[in-house]
Amino acid sequence: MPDDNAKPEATPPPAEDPRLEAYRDGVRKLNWFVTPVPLFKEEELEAMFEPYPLTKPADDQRWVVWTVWVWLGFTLFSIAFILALLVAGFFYGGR
Amino acid sequence: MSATAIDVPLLGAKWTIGFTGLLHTAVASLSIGLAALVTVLQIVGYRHRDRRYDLLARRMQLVHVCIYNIGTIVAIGLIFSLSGLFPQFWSQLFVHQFWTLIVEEFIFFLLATTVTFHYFFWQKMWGHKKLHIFLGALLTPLFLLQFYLINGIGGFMLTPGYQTGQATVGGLIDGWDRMGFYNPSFLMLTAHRALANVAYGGFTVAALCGIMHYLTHREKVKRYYEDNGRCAFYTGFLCFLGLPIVGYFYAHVLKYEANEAYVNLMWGQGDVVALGMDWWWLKQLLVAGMFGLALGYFRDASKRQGASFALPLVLVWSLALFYLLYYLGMGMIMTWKFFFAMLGVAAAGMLLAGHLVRFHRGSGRALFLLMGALSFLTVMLGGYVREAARPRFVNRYSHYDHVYIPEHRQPVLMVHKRPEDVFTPEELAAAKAPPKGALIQAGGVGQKLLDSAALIRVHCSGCHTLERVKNYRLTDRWSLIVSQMRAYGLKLSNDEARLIVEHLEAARPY
Repeated sequence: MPDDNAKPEATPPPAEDPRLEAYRDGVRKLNWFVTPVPLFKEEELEAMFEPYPLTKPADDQRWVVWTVWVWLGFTLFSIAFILALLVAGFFYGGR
Repeated sequence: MSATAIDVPLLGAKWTIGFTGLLHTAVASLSIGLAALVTVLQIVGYRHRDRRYDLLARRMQLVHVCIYNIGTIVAIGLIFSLSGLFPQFWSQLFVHQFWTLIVEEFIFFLLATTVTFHYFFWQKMWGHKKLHIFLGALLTPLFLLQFYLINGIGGFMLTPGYQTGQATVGGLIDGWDRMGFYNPSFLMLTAHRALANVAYGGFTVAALCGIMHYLTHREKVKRYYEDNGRCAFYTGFLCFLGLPIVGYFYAHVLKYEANEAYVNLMWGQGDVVALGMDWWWLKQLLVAGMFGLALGYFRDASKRQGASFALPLVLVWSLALFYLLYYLGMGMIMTWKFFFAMLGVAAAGMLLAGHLVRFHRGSGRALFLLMGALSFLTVMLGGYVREAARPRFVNRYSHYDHVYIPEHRQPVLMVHKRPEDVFTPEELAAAKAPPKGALIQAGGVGQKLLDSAALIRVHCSGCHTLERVKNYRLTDRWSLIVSQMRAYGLKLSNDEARLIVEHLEAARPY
């Protein structure tokens, strides 16, 4: 049964402008380096409003996801360690 | 005085630190606010599957990366300047809280790397969007933890909380002063800064959206800036409303733990007064104006959406009422004339908000811009007066040299000089003399004040203005009046009551 609340697929931006093709190409490849849309061109900015380009997790490059997971682990561990230091320092740090 | 002190041409040592510190405040506070705003915009975008919020979040994160770098570089400049210009002070502080500062430096590293990953992986993680949002959201607690640490030191500089005999220095761990870190005002300072920084960030993002709204012509793009600006503005306003609650308790702590700074703030010290008005009170006027403007915009926007009795509206008005009560409480210290002036400014701000929105055909762009500018000014004024209110450095030696005398630490300090090596005996006596109105004996809350003028300022202004004392006509009955106040609940020892009565009967200034 179709989901009534599902957001309709937005129509793709018109293809007349060759720069928009470059933009779509960038989105397809999900590559930051190939999405060179200038920031302050109004029509190009407008063309980016739709859709919200969620993709499948498997489409993401593995090294990126691994880097983020490793970094998150390290950061969360560091935060926990510093908090533990602050608590321990309160009870045992000096007279 | 000292021939050994470095000086900065034209600017002078004090203003070099002042300018660098203010620049750091302007940039670093914004950085903290931007981190929170980026997360808010990303979450709104994800929940509504609306990429417009995500796009602005990405742009703001780019601004944040730049701002963060500038803030860090200015911080390094501040450290260098302190090391050269106030070596005794900085050596003391660094030895005192070495491990605190090292951990804070490590959090700098975590922040810099996290923000870099978050920005540069933005387009690479559309399959793991929630993970990406979480990575960005981690910046806010990291920032909170970072300024939690630095506020332990900043708070110590204002409210050391103990005196020589009670210092923790020399305990189990060198470079960590437990009692210095967990000082009386550090928690209130942290809470106040957290809310103020997010409010500052929210209003600044809204102001940037306002500027871009002016510069664009396409309807959809205008809508993009309007919606994003409103989202940022509401986030800022929410935090702004929480400020007086925290501010009240912060002022309360200062009153008892940093009386000199409190008196400097409330009554001014001559050197922080401009155009006949203290900077701190000027800031309060601006805050009242911002309050009126924001409330006016909120009322207007709610009317347009037909949500006159919605829960958020009720909550905001309730908080507004609390705000008024807060200022009524402040009326005990400020004059009533000033209180009504502030009410007038707030009402004028409310009217102006309605006018600006109507004039710009329903757009909040002018208001966003105005609030951004006012927010910047209040952050600058707040930062300045806090530092200026702090008891003065005397000849480059920190005020609390008489709190913590680092003689046993001299061998490990970079400056191998004692005050006696640098100053004449007269200068030294002047530097060590407690400032007028200062606390003479230690002991936390309830410290004993031997200065009768300070006793009057502290105890009388707890319930009413000093003007009421000064205007009181039955001046031959001070003993009776003080007894009445004690009956109302004023806590005074018999000695303190006697000192106050004698001071008032002699009609001496206070």
